[in-house]
Amino acid sequence: MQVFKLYFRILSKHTAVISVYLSIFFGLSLMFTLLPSASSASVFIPEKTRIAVFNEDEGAFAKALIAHISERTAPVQISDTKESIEDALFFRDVEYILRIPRGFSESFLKKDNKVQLEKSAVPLSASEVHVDFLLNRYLRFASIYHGLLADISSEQAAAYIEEDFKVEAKTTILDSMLLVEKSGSRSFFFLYYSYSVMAIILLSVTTGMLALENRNIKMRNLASPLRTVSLNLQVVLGNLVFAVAVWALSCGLGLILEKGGMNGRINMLLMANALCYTFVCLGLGFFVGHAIKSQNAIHGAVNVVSLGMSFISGVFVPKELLGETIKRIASFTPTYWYVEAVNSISTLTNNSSTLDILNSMLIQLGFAAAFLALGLAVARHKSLANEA
Amino acid sequence: MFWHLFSYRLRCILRDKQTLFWSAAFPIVLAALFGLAFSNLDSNELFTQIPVAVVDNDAYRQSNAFKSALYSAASGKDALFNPILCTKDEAVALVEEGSVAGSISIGADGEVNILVKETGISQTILKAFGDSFVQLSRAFKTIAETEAQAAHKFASLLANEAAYIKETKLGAEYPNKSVIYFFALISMACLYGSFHGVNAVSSVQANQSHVAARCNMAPVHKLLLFGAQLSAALLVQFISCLLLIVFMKFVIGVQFGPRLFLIIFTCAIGASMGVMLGALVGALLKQRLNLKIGIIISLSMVLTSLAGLQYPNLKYIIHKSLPLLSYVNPAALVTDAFYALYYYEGLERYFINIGLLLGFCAVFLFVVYGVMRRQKYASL
Repeated sequence: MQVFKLYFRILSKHTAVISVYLSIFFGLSLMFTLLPSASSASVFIPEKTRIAVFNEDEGAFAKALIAHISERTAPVQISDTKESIEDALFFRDVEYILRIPRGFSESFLKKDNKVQLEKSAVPLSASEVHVDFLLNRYLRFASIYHGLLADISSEQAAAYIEEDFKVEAKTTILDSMLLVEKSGSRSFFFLYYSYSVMAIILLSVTTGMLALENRNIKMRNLASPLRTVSLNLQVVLGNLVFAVAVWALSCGLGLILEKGGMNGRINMLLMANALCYTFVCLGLGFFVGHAIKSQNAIHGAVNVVSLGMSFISGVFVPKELLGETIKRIASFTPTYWYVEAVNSISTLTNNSSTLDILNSMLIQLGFAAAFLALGLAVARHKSLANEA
Repeated sequence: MFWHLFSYRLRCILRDKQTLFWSAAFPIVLAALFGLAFSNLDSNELFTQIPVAVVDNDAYRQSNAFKSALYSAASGKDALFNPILCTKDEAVALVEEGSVAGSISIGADGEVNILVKETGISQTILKAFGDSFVQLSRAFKTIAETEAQAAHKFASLLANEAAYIKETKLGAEYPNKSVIYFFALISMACLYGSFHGVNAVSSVQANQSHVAARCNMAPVHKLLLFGAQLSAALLVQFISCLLLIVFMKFVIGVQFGPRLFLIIFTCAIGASMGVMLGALVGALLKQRLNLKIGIIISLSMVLTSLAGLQYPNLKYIIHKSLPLLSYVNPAALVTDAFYALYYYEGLERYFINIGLLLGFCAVFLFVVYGVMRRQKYASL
C-alpha cells in the first residue's frame, strides 16, 4: 500500500489550503444555521414588516396609532439620523419608516389634514403596500368614529376600534401542504455542502494526481515491480477514502447542528444525496486531473468550476430567483440535480413519493460515470501520445 | 532610466499569466456569475397585483358591500388584487396549484373565509383585506346602536379617501441591496492587487530571486528601481479594476450612480491601497513568496467577507455595532466608498472613506520605505 500512503502524504502537504475551505464551509454553515429561518406552520401567521417609528407628536391619538401598528409589524429601534435611517433601509433592517410629525393628532381630529404622516419605504415593495394598508385602515376607522359619534374622546374611539379589530376573517391553510418538519437551516447546510465538497475534492484529487502524473515519477513508478493495476487501484482507493471521510465529517457536523431535530427518513435521503454528489466530485476531479497541466492552474480551475456551478444552480441564491435561461443551462450540470434533490427532500411530506428524488440522484451518478469515462479517455489519449 | 525599468517591469507583469488571472480575470468571472445569479434578487420584494380567487356564491351576489369593497381594492393604479370569479371547487383547485395567492369567500352571515396554501406577504395582505371587511361591518353595527341617525352617513365617510400619508424620499438611488455584492467584489479585486505589490517588492529583494540579486548589483538608485516596479504594478492594477467596473456597468448593468469622475478616482485609490498592502506584506515578512501569497489570500478573504461579499448585511451589522472595525478594514472602506457614491446625496461619508484609504496607502508606503531602505545583502 505504498501508493495509498503516498497519496495521503501528498495531501498532508496541502492541509493548510484544505482546512481553509473546510473552515469557510463550517463557519458559514454555523452562521446560517444560527440565523432564524422561516418555518411553516398549521396556523396562519401574518408576515410582519420591519418598521421604524419616530413619534414627534404628544397626542393620545398618535400613541394609540403606534400601539396598533406595532402589534401588526415588527418594530425596530434605530437612531434618528439621516445616515442611519438610510443605511437601515438600504440593508432592509427596516422596510418602512414612519414619522408622526408634531401636531398630527390635533390636525387629524380637526380633520383639516394639514399635518400628514411621513413615510419612507422600499419603493414599490409589497411591504410598503402592506403597512400603507394597515395605517389607512386604522385612520379610516378613526375618522369614522370621530366623524359620526359627536364628542367621542380619543381613548373611547381607540377602545371601539380595538374591539372591532378583534374580529377577523377566518383563515384556513390547505392541509395537504402541511410540512412534516421544519428544515430551513438543514437544507442550507446541505446546499452549501455542494460548493465546499466540490472545492475540497477537486483540489485534493487533482493535486494528488498531478504529483503522480509527473513524467519522471511516472516513469520511475512504471519501472518499479508494482503492477500498474495495483498502482491505479491504490490511487482510486486513496481518493475514495478521502472523499468518504469528507462526506462523513460534513454529515456528522450537519447532524450535530440540527441536534437530531429531523426525522430519520429525511436525514437518510439528504445523506445519500450528498454521497451521490461526492462521487460526482470524484469523477470530475479525475477528469480535471488528467486535463490540467500545471499545479498553478489548479486553484484557478477549482474556483471557477466550483463557484460557477454553485452560482447558476441555486446553491447561494434560492432557485426561484434565478432566470429561466440560467436554470435551463444549469440543468446540464450535476449541481443543479443535487440542489433539486435537496429542495425536494426538505419539502418532503409524509405521503409524497420519493421517485423524483431518486431520479435526481441517478442523474448525478450518471454525471459521475460520464466524468470518469471522459477522464479515462483523456488519460488514454495522453498515454498514447507519450508512447508515440 | 525610469522608463526603461518601468517598461520592462510592465512586460514582466503582463507575462505573469497566473497573477493576472487572479487580479484581473477572476474578479470578472465572479462578476459574471454574480450577474447571472443576482439578476432577479430584488424582484421578489416588489409588489405585483395579488391574484385572488373570489367564490361566486349567492351570498357574494347579494352582498353589495363586499362587492364594492372588492371592486375598490381591485381597481385604479394602486389596485391590490386581481380577482378571479369562480365556483368554490375551482377556487380550491386554483389555490392548490398555486396560481392564486389565496381564495376569499363570503358566507350567508357576512363572515369572510380565506383559504391559502402558504403564508407570505401576499396572503397577509389578503387577510388584512378580509379582516378589514368584517371589522367595518362590526363598526357599522356599533355606530348604528349608539347613534342611529349617524349611521346613514357611514357610506359617505367610507368613500372619503383622504391622503393621510405622504412620502419622503430617502437616498439618491433605489435601495438595491444586491449592488453591495458587486461593490465588495471590487474591493476584493483591489485587494488582489496585493499580488502585484508582493511581486514588486520581491523583484528588488536580492534574497528572493536571481533577477532581484542581479538588479541589486546594477548601478541604479534603489528608490528609482523600486519606484518603477511599483508604478508598473499600480498601472496594471488600476486598469484591471477599471475593466472590472466597465464590465459590471455595461455588461451586467450594475448601477454606480452618476458621479463618473469620483468612481474612477475611487477605483484608482482602491487599486493603490491593494498594491501598497501587498508591498507591505512583501517587505515585512522574510519568508518565501508562496507563504506571502497565502497570507494575502487569507487576509483578503477575511476582509472582503467582513465587507459583505458573501452576506451584504454583515457590512451593515459591523458598521452599526462595531464601527471601528469597518474603519480599519480597507475592503470595507472601498465597498463603503462605492456605496456612498451610489446611495448618498451628500459626499461627506464618501470623503471620510477616501481619506482613510489615502491614510492607509501613506502608512503602508512609509513602512515599506522604512524597511526597504535598510536592507543590505552582505552575502546570499
